[in-house]
Amino acid sequence: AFRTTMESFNKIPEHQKGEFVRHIEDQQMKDSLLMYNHLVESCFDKCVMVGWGGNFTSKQLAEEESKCVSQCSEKFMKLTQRV
Amino acid sequence: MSEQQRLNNAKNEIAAFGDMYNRMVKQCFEKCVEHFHDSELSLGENTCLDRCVGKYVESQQKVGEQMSKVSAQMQQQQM
Repeated sequence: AFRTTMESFNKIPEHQKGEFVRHIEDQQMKDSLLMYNHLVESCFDKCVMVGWGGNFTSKQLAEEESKCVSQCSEKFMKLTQRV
Repeated sequence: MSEQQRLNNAKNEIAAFGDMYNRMVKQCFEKCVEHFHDSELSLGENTCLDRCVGKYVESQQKVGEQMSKVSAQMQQQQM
């Protein structure tokens, strides 16, 4: 599938390649924003125990929650680099 | 950066904000609302929601800090 994608790209006429590159950049921005939002949601879900049984005391992250979120996101970033 | 790119970037930001909002609502509903014998939000649920939003926004900032840190490191490595 990857090879087919690059073959299609090579068949685009020269004068359209610029436009396509801009499209790729736009898509990359969308992907980054989506990944960011997904990361926030996942780390929040794993680290923050708001609710009846959980940390009910404040609007701010508790120290353990804050540390957990930082480590969660750092781990994820390293994961994406490895992949 | 062309006008079109600026426009696209702004559109992307707005879409991302909407997406964040939906995720926050989903998370806070799941963590704060547990029973449905009543259709009104209880005092406890309201308090929980306020705190949930505060914590979610703060998590957003923390993750943003981490991402900046890692991308700065990556840029340094490339130099």
